[in-house]
Amino acid sequence: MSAGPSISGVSISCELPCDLQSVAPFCLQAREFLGRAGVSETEMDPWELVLTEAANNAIRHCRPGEDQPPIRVDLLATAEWVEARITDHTPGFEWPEKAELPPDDSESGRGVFLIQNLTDESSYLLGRGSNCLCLRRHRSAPKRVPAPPNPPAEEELREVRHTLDLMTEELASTYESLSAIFRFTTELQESGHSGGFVERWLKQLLVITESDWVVLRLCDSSNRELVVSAASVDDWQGEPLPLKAPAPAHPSVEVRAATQLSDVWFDPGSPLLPGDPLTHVAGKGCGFAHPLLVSDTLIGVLSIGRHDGARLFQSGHVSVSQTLGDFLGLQVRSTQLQKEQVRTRLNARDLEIAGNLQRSLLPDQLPTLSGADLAAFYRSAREIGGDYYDALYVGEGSILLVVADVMGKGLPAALFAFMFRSLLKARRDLAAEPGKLLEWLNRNLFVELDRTDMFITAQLVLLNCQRREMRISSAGHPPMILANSNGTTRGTSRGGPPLGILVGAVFPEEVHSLGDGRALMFSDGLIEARNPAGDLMGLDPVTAAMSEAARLGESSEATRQRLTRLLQEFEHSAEAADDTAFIVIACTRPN
Amino acid sequence: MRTTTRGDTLLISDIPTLTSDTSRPFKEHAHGALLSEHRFVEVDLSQARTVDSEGIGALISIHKAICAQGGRVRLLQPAPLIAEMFTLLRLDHLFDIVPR
Repeated sequence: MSAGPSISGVSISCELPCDLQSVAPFCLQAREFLGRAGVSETEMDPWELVLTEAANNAIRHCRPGEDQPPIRVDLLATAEWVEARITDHTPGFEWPEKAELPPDDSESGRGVFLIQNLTDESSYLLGRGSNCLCLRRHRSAPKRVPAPPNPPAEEELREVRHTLDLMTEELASTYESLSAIFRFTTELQESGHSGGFVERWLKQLLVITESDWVVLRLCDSSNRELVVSAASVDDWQGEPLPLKAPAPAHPSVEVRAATQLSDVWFDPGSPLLPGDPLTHVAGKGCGFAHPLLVSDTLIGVLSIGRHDGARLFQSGHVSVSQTLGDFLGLQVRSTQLQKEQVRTRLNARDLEIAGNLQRSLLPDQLPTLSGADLAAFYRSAREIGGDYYDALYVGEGSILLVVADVMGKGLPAALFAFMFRSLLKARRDLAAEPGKLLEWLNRNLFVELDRTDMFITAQLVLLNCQRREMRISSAGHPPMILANSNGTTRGTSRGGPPLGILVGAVFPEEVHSLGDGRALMFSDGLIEARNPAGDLMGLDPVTAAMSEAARLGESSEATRQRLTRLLQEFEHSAEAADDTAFIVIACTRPN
Repeated sequence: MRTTTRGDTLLISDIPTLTSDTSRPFKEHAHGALLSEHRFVEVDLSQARTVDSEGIGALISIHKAICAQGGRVRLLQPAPLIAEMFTLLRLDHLFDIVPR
């Protein structure tokens, strides 16, 4: 317990262990102090009861756990009034404006009523981790406050100076906090977080708190690690610290602060543990790690210290560090949220553009020609991909059929599909030789595809109904399935490599007669469909379906429906992972 | 704390305080000493320097027990502030208060 002069009276501060047994001895000490302050016995009795009730509440409702922080009691007596401030560490409660009495037979619930009725003013300030009950009672008759216990003049002067120093420091720290927050807020409004805001902020903090070093760690996006975001130490880069490690045994004060959600201190008497990464920065100095919380969510840890272990932090500097640390935490969190919001919007816009592009590539309807009828299917997966199909007139009785698949998702894939289609249409004069056309496409797309580590698989089929033949060339694309009317099937060759892999690649052609069977061009999404168990559909069911369609002489539309059903039944409720495109060619004898 | 039975009265005396740390043993002791033939409980508060709200809770508990037997509680010679407290809490009708 410490006593000393205050602004215009005498004051006393003491810390009360969180134990009901300590209430009675404390009340005796308080009476003794009030007696020295000239408070009469009659006035002391209500104070004793009030302090007993207040201390009981603070002890009874403190948070469960082993190490309960003590309850702080400050008493101040002036000539006109006596004031008590009881700082507790309970979850706190709503202080009633006027407490009501419980029913007569209730055995509890009268403490607050007594406190309010035995004091003239009462208020309860809720805080983070601690709350303060402020009570004031006017003295019955103004009395001259006697001098505090009679220390020698020099000692008294020293005490007064010390008190003044503490008050000055407290005021200065409050001013520094407000001033710094004002400066940083202004800077943020003018320039945002660009240009090393956090680094400048840390330098200011060092100056304000007369500290030698400061380290700011922020939680990574998965909240699994504390990663160094900024540090005042040039030649030091701390490794990320895992947050899931058992905290009490963890050597790092930063991890302990983060997991306990409370400040962790160190000084020469209680040094950093061996293995604490801050040892390289702090040496044998002193300092503390302060968790940065926003709405009870940890976003990082601010550690600050001095190299000289004897220069312990005064409460004012601690207060500034904590206040500015919390302020920075709010700013960092706000920036993170803004970035996430922008990223989400960009992704949504990206997908919207990609989807529009994708749809614009597909033909409204397929051409009709004598000797073959066509049907196509296209399905986009959840993430927009780069599948594309088309059918272009290239001369009388001839159609160039295309199925292509750009490897990748989103806007880049859609853009390459768009480029592919534009180039293809530009050189439809090469359609008579699909292999040559693929070579030309490969040369013209190679640089862009190579630079972006993307590639395109494609299959071109020149369908010539006058010659009753199909001229086929492929670039790394799944082979076509050709099914005869007797039910037999075969595949075409794989052809050359995908576009964008080999600059001088050659794409062989193969020619098949149309006959009266069925043919299928498809992207890998069809045979790589998965069922809810994760199994691939594979080529066999598709080949079997084509065989059956050819044997039954189904139209291209009926075959398209057969394949669509096959796909839907196999996938059942599983979500499609990839785009799927296919074209069915049903060969018919010309009229 | 001491309990004595005189006829239909249970006397509880030697009570230095009746506060958060002493009210529970007081209550247990009093209930333990209460017999069915008791009609009055006299609580000698002449030596009690402090009675807080938890102490009052303990007295109300004894009041309820003796009421169930058709009796009453008498508080003997409480200090003025303690007596005033019962008035303030509007409990003075529950107990017979015998002033100093």
